[in-house]
Amino acid sequence: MVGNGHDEAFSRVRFWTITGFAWLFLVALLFRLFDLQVVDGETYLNRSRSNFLQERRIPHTRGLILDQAGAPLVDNRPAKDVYLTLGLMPDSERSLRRLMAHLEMNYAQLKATDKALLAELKKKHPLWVVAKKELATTQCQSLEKYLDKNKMPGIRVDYDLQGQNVCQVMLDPLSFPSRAGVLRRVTDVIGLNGAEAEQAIQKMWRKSRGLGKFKPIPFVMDVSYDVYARLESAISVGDLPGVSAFDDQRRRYIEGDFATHVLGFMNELSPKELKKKKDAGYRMGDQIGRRGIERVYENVLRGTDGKEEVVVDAKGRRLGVSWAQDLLGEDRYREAEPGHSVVLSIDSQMQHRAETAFQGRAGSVVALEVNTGFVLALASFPDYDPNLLNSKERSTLVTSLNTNPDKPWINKAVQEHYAPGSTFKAITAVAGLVNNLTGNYNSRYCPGFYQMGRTKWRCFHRGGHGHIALAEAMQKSCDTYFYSLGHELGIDRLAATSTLLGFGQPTGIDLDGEIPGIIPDKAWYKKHFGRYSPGYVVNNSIGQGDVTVTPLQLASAYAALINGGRVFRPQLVREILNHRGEVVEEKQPELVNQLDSIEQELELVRRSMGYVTQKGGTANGLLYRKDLPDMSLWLRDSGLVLGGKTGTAQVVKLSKAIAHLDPEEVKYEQRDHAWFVGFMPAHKPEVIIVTMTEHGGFGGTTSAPVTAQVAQVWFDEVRGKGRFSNLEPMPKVRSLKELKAEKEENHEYLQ
Amino acid sequence: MNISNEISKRRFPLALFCLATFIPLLGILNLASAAKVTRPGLWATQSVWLAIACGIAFVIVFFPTRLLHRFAYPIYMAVNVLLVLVLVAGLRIKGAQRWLDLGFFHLQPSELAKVAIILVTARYFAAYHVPQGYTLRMLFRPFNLSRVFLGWGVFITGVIQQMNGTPIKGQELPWWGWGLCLLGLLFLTAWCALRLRSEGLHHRQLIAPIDIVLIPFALIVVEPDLGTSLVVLAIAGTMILFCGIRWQSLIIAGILGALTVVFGWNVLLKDYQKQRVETFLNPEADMHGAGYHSIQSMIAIGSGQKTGKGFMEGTQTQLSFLPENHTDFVFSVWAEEWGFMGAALLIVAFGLLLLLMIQVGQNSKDKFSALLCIGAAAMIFWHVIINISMVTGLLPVVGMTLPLVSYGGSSLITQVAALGLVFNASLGRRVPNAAPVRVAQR
Repeated sequence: MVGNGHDEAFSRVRFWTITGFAWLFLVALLFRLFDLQVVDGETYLNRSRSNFLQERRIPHTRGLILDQAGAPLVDNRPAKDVYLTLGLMPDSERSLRRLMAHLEMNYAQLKATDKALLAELKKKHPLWVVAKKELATTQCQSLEKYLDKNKMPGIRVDYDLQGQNVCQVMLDPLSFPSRAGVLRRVTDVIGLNGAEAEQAIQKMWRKSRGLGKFKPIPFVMDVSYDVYARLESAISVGDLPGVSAFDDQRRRYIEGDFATHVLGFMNELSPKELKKKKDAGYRMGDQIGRRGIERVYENVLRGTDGKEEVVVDAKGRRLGVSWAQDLLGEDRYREAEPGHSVVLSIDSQMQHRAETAFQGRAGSVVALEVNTGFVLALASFPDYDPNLLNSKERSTLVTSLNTNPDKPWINKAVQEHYAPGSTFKAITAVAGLVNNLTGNYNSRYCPGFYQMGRTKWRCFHRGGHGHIALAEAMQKSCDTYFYSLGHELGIDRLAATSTLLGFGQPTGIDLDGEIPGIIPDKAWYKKHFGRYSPGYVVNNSIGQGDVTVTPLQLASAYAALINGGRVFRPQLVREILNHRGEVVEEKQPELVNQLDSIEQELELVRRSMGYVTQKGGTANGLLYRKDLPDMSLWLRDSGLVLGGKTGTAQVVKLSKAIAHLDPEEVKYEQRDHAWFVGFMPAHKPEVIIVTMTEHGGFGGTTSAPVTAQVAQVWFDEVRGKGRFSNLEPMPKVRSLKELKAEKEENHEYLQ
Repeated sequence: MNISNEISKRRFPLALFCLATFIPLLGILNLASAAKVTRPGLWATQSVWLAIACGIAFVIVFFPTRLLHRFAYPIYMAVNVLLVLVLVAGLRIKGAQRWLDLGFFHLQPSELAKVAIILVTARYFAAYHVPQGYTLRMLFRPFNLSRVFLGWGVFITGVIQQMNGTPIKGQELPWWGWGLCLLGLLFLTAWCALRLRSEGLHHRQLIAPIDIVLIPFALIVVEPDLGTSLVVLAIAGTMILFCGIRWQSLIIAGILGALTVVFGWNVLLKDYQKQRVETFLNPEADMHGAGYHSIQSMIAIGSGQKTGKGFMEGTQTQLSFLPENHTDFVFSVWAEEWGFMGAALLIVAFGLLLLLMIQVGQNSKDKFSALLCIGAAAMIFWHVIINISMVTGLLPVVGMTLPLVSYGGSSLITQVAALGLVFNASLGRRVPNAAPVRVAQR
C-alpha cells in the first residue's frame, strides 16, 4: 500500500476543484467590495458624513419695525420651543425585544405587552404592567444582572410570590423606554391635558412626514420659562431622550392692538409652503409674515440663519474641536445675519389719535402727506391684538374674529370699497372744469330736484338751493348742481378723469391685498347690465350708483387735487436700516401721474372746499362741538383752516322712506356711511386725512372730528420736529396748549 | 529521529508560514485602530493570545501524526463532554450559554469542536474510502443499532410518562399512536438483527458517519450558537463532499436539506433568530433597529472608497457608529481605513493562504493528512466567506469572527491550531491508508 513517490491520497482534480471553488467565492466578495467601495463609495461616504455631522442652527434676529421718529413698534422677545427627534426616542418594541430572551417571551406575548403599555399610557394614572408572571428565580437573577450592566429603567422584579420559587417582572409604562412614554412625560411637563396632547402629537406626526428620522420636529412652540426650566433639568439627566428645547425669538407688537393692519402678523409655515420655500432658507417651525408690513417686507425683515457644524459620535455626544477641524474644515461656523429694520412713514402720535378719536364700530382713517404720498396714519376698525395670535388664546380669538360681522381681519382702508357719496363731487367738479362745462361763474338752478325725462333725482335739500355757483355747490354739497353737470359730462368723461386720479386701480401702496374699486364707464355697464342708460351717470356723479372707492384711493386722489395735480403712490416705508442702524435704502416719493395745465381749475376746487368747515358749509358744526370743545377751540382760533368735503353715502335705496327717521331708530346695517376728507391748512395743504365710518350717519358729524383731531396732532406735535423740521415755519399758528392757557387767563380775568 | 532533518527533507511550506504570520500581525495592527476608543490596550492582549496560540501550534506541529490519528476519537469524545458540560454548568452571557469559566480564561468548547470535527472526520473518511463515492445510506445508516436503542429509549420514557400522567407538553399520543410506534420499532429491531447476523458486530453498525457530525452540531445549536454550529456542519460537509458523494445522493440530500430548512424555520428557530433573518432580507426597513449593524457596517466599508480614510482615521470606527468593531466587524474597520486596496489585499491574502493549505494536502501522501488540510482550509474558508458576506450585507448578522484577524483568544487559538494541523501534515509522517471499502454492486 505504501507507495514510493507518486501515489496520492486523492486525485489532483479534487484539490484543484476545491481551490477553484474557494477562489470563486472570494472573487465574488471582491466584486461585492468593488460595488460598495468604488461604485457606490461616494454615496456611503456621504452617509458616513451624515452619521457624524450635526448641524446646529443659529437663528437670526428679525428686523424691527419703527415709526417715522424711530420708535420701535414691533420687536422680538426671547422664546423657548420644544422639538422632538423621533429617531432618538426609544422604541418600545425594541426595548422589549432586548428582554425577550430573558423573559422567555414569544412574539405574540411581546406584542401584547407592548399594547398593554400603550393602553396604560392613555389613562390618567398609568399603572405598572405585568411583563411576565411566573418566571424561574434564576432567570430573574440573570435579568437583574443584565439590567445592572445595561441601564434600562422602568423594570421591577418581584420575588417569592405566594412562597413559590417564582418571580414576576413588572414594567412601568412611564419610565420604560418607549416613544409613547417619553411623549406622555413631555406633555405632562408642558402641562397639556389629554386632548391637547393628542392634538399636538397628531400635528407633529403630520409635520414629520417626509423628513428624516433624525431631524428635530417642532412640537410645542413658545413654552413658558417655568416649563422650560423643568424640561431642561429632565433632559440634562437623560430622562427625556429625543426631546430638546431650542432658543428662539417671537415677534412682540409693543402696543398690542396698535396699527394692527399696517404691521400685520406672522405665523408658522405649513409643511406644504415649507417645500416651496426650503431654498430660501426656511426651516420647519419657522414663522413667516402673513399680513401687512410683515408680509410685504418679509424678505427685508428676515435675516439669514447661521449654522454650526459639530461632530457627534454614535450616542449623540458632541466631540471636541479637533475632530470638527479634521473632518469639517474651517467653514463649519457661520454667523447669523440679522434682518433689516424698516422705518415706517407712520407717526405713532397721529396713528394713536386716529385710533382713539374714531367713534364708529367699523371704518378706517388714512392720513397722507400731501406733497409726497407718504402715509402718516392708517387705521382700520375693528382691530385686534396680534400678540394673541401666537398665544394660548389663539383659537378663541380666531373664532371670535371670524364670526365678527365687522370683518376685523380686513384692512378697511385698502381691502374694502364703498360708494364715496358726496366726496366724489370734487372729482365730478374737476372733470367738469377740465372739459370746460363749468367754471367759477357758472351757476345752475336747484329747485330741490333734477329731472330727466320722467325721472326725478332729489337734492338732499328738499327746498332747493336756488341759483348756485360751483364754489357754493361744493360748500353746501348741492346734489342738483352735480346731477346736471354729470349729465352733461357723460359717463366716459367722468370715468376718464377718475382714472387719471387713480380710481379704479390699486394705488400700489406697500400693503397686501389691495383692491381696485369700481369706476364704471359705458363698456362696464354693457358688460354688467347689458346696456347703458344716461341716468346712470347722474347717480355716479354724486358718488352713489355704481362707483366705489377705497379710502386710500380717495385720500390719494384728493391729495392730487390740492397739490397741483400730482398723483403720488402712497408709501408706508421711509427707510430700510441694517442691524447697525445705518440707512441701507431711503425711499423717495413716487409720482404716478401728473394732471397738466389745470392748476387754476384745481385751485378753484381747493378753495371751494375751504368753505366747507366755515359758516354755511356742510361741516360747520365742527367749530362748535360741545362734546369736543378742545377740537372746536383749536379749529376756531389756531389760525389755520381745515378744508375738506363731507360725504354721506346711502347704503340702502329706501333711504327716502327712512329719511324722516331719527338716525338712532334706523337699523345699524341700514345707516349711511359717513365720509370726511379733510386737509390742512386749506390755503397750502400739508396733510390730508380721510375718515370713513361705516354706518356712521352724517359725514360732517361722525367722521370730520376724527380728521380734525388727527390734523391737530400734525401741527401741534409732529410738524417742525425730526424729519419734518425743515418745513417752512407757519407764523400765526397757535397750539391747543397755548389756546387753553389763554382761555384760562381770560376766564380768570373776567371773574 | 532528528526533527530539523525531518523538516528539511520535506519542503517546509515557507510561503504558507509567511502568510500565516502576516495575516494575524495585520489583525493586531487593525485592532490597535478598531479598539482605540473602547478598549485601547486590546492589541497587546491579542499579541499575548497570538503568542499562546503559537505555542500551542508548535506542540501540534511536532505532535506525531500517528498519535493524532490514534487519538482522534478520544479527543472528539472529550470535546463532546465539554459541550455537554457547557449546557449544564456554562456561563450565560446575553442569553446564550457558550462558555466554561476556567477562572483565568473563558473557554469556548464550540471552538474546540471545530478542530475536533476536522480530526474525527479526517480519521473516519481516511479509514473508509469509497472510490465510487458515498451514498446517503452509507452516510446516514438509518437502520443501525444506535437508532434502535434510541428509539426504544424514547418509546419507553414516553409510555412511562403517559402512564404517570405527566406527558411532555403536546406529546400525548392516543393508544393507536403508541401501537404504531411499537410496530415501527419492532420492524427496526428485526431489520437490525438480520444485518447483525449477516455482517457481524462492527462499530460501523453502531454509529453512522453523519452522527459524528450531528452530535456536536446539536449540542452547539442548543447553546444557542447558530453561527458556530453551521460552521461545524460546513466543515464536515466540505470534507465529505471532497471525499466524494454520488450525484444521485447529492440531489436527494439537497431536497432533504430544503425540507429541513422549512421545518427548522417554522419549528426550531426562536423569534429573535427569525427576526435576524428577516432583517437581513430588508435591512433598511428598521434603520435603528436590528438592521443597524448591517447598515453601519456597509456605510463603513463603502465610505472607505478606493484608498480608505487612513489608519485610525475611520469615522465609523472611531466615533463608535460601527458596533462590535473589534470582533465580528473588524473587516469593516480594515476596509474603512484602508479602502478597496486594503480590503482586496486581505482577501487575496486569504485566497493564497487557502491555496497553499490545499497544496499541502495535495502533496501529502496519506488520506488522513490530506483530509486534515482540507478540513482546516474549509474552516478558514467558511469563516472568511460568512464573515465578509455578513459585514457587506450579503448575509444576516450571525456571530462569526474573521479568522486570525478578529479579537478573541478562543477563536485565535482554534484557527492557529488548525494551521498547526496543516504544518503537521506537511511534515509528511504518514499514516497508513485503509483499504478501499467494497460497495455491493446492485
